Amino acid sequence: MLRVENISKSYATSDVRTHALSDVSLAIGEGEFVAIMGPSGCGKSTLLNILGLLDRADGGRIELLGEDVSGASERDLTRLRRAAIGFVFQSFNLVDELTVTQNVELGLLYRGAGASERRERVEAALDRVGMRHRARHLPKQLSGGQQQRVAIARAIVSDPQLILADEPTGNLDTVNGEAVMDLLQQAVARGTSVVMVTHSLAQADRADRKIQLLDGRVVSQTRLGA
Amino acid sequence: MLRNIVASAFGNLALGRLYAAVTLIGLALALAAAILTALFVRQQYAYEAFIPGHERIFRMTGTVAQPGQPERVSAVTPSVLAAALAARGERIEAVARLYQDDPVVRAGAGQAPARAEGFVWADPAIFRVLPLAPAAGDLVSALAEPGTVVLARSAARRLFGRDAPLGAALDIVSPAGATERLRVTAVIADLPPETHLDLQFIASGRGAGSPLARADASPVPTINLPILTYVRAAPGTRAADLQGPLDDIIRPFQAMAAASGTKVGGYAMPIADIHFGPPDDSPHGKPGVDPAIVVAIGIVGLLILAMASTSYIALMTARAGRRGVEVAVRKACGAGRRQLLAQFLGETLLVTLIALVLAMGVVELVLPAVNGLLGLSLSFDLTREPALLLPLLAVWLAVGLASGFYPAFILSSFRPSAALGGGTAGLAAPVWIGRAMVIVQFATLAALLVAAATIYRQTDFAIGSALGAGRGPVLTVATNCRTGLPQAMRELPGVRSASCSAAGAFNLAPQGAVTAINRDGRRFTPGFVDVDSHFFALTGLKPLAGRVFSPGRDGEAARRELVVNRTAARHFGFASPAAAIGQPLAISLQVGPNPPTTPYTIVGVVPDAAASVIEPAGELIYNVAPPERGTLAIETSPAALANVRRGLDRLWAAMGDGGPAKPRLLAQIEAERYRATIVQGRVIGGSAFVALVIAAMGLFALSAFTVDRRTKEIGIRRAMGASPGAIVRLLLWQFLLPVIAASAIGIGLSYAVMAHWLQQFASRVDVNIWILIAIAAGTAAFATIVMSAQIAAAARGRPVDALRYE
Ligand SMILES: Nc1ncnc2c1ncn2[C@@H]1O[C@H](COP(=O)(O)OP(=O)(O)O)[C@@H](O)[C@H]1O
Ligand SMILES: [Mg+2]
Repeated sequence: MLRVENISKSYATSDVRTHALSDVSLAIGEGEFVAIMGPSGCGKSTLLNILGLLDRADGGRIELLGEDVSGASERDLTRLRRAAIGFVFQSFNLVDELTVTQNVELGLLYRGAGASERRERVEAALDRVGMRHRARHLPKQLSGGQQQRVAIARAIVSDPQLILADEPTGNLDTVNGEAVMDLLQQAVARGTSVVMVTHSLAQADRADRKIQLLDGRVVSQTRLGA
Repeated sequence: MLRNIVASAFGNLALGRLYAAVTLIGLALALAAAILTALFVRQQYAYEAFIPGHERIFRMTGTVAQPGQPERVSAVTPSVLAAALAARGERIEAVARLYQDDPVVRAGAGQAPARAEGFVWADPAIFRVLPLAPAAGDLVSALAEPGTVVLARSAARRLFGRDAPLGAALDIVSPAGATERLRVTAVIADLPPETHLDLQFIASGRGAGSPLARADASPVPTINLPILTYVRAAPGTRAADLQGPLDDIIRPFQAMAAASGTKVGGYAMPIADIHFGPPDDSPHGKPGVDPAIVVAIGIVGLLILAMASTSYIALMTARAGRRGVEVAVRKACGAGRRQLLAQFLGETLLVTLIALVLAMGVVELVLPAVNGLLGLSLSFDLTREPALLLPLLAVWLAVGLASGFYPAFILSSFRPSAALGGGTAGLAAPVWIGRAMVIVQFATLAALLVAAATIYRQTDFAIGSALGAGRGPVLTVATNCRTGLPQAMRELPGVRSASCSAAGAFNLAPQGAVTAINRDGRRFTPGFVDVDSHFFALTGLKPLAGRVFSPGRDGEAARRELVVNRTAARHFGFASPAAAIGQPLAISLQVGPNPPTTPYTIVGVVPDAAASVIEPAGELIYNVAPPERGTLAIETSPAALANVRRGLDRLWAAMGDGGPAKPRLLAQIEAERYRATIVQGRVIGGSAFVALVIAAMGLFALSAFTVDRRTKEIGIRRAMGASPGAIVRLLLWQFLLPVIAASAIGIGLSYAVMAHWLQQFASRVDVNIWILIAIAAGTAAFATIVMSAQIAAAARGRPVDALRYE
């Protein structure tokens, strides 16, 4: 469902040029759970941002749902992102001023869902992550694990075909991390593709496939449990 | 400590140069505007204060209320009032009259003649009543002899080229060419602008040449002369103490007037109240200045300060997040809460001080322009008035503390762990502060715009509804109407019409009142105006019934004809304008039990046209009697105006009164009548402009901070699929909502105030709803433009940049 070919990305700061990604090619299948691993600074977030159409590659081809989006306009990227992709971040990235419900609703708001549909789906998503009882809380009134569960609810509320999770358990303890993994795996079970960055081998083992990055290059791909 | 504050203040300025500039310029502009409005208010309340003992000097004021009409106030008093008051001298130290005149004078034979503005004939006691500052000569005895005159210093310089031309001759040139010689006996210092008095030439009222002496010689008391009566009372005397004697004197007149249903009265007005007094209906009178407007302008000054102060608070608290680490480090280094409070308050006081110094420079710089624009003479000179430093100091402390306390409180109460723990989240200023700022600023802005627009429209309407407005430009020149000049002007190419009538005729200020007796013997005291037969053609007043005077009928029969206005016709007892035609009316120029009258016939009734928008039209009668001292009004076209002016100068040389012609446009004269209101309108308009600048800068900086603070949120929303447009709407709405609420509040408040203000005018515009809507829409559009660049940039950026911020 998602294919990137020979993409590269470099950052030019005032004195150095960092090659964050060089010549990366990979494909994600429908309903596939992929874990991306690698040392800090090797380009994992950069790759995920490009996969999520949050950032543009310098070169290469990206194909999402059979559509070539390499040269698409910002507006088309927004439309595609809106239609197909959900995000989970390491630092949760909930909007501090909005309640749990409102934060989850964000995943639907820009898709033009009606009020009653939004209410139903937000409730269902919060149910799925076990956060319904905190619906009116503000993010700062929640623990880290709870915040990340809300962030996952926000990512799944619109039933995206792809969820991109950048170190979703990085700021969590083991128990909460496991809970997040369970939620992601449930999403995969419902047919959603998930691409997750993680440092934990145990978590990576729960994925269908492991991709190792080093200095902006894919160094190995391991299919698990096959 | 101080060095630390200074370093920190400048460090912060350097950090955010744009925001520092906005803060500083905003504060400086507001302080400058506040200083200017304060100077204006101070000047308005300083009227007559330069005259020693001004609190016990009174000007006698008459009131006349015709049936069904509101009371008119006039400073013109009967000539005999002064003597009657002096005779009842219990609390009265001195009484003196001024007879207002505007003769042509010259500085001795052979010199160029000039029209003498500010010329009065005065009783010799005038300088006991008004102890003005002498510049040369002895004021006590200066006017004792007939044929003496006292000059103001600027008049002395203008005419004689020296400060003290004692003993020099000043000739009054009559229209017929005869001269009357006066001798200069003293010079007074020029009066400051803060006075109702216009005294350039003060001639002795004694002697045959003086109209005061002529009035005193008249066997019947006259009420139509431009005589003002001033009283200096014993210390501690209040206006009410003079009411008893005044009532005794007025009583016989009241009985006579009551016969015609007219109520007359009088009271003593402290001269300090004249400036804010009711509009003076007399020919030289001015519309009073509404003190409420002056107070309102003072409040506007304070509001602008409040705007800048809220701006400062909002920007400083918005920036607080950026200083979290600094606070944390200072605390970690052992700074206590109190030290931090002092530190941040000190910073604000320093910034305010810099702004104040800048503001003082701005005031120095713009004061001449402001004075020119407003026709004022405000001064701001610390070397001459070091006492001004005190209020400036107070303003500095007030604004500095008011602006600094809350940001200092927020910053100093901040817990270091939150900042050092990473992220800026801990030190977010409450959102309501920014909103409050926006609301205060835009409410003020909208209110000022409504006020300025209303005042502008009303003055425009007032000038536009003056007689002859809407016609071609009308030139007026004071002249003797019984010369060949009016006819010669009519024959000039480019002249549409010309009429020579009484001085007040063209702004419909009656020359005075007469006694009119109708067929049933009922008595009235209508105002009268002497006009020529071209007056109605020029002013465009068309008869409702009968006819108006027309050229070619200037004969003796025409002299016994009257045209009356509609109100007069109704009051005289006629059921309709038509019913008045052909009816007799006996007129007397005198008051008294049985004044000698002359029979007249009413030949026409014309619509009411008020002297000004301030008052409704009273009873007015027109008579064909081109006066010796009149005003020639010449209607021309814009294209021909310059030629007509030249033609007038040429004809004037041969047929004028010997002095130079000083033609003025009728529209100018009208504008002058409403000058006080126009000035107030401009002050408020200027304040609205300052408010606009401050609001723009405040909103610009605040939206920049908000975008900055909400970067992460914007990123999240973009990741969630928000389009740039959705982000723009979100951010705009955050401020547009308060802007719209604020303009609703401001417009509502201002509407109420201005509707009340308009009540003082008998004819007035309404507060146009479309203008209110336009102001609301305009402020919203303005706010959008101010924020748009920032917000568009935020919305266009790649979401990933925003998220990385975290
Ligand atoms: N906006 C940026 N500007 C400059 N360099 C960047 C930027 N973002 C990432 N980098 C650099 O690109 C490289 C890859 O970063 P990133 O994808 O965040 O790594 P990871 O997520 O694997 O830790 C790093 O060397 C990082 O310093
Ligand atoms: Mg990363």
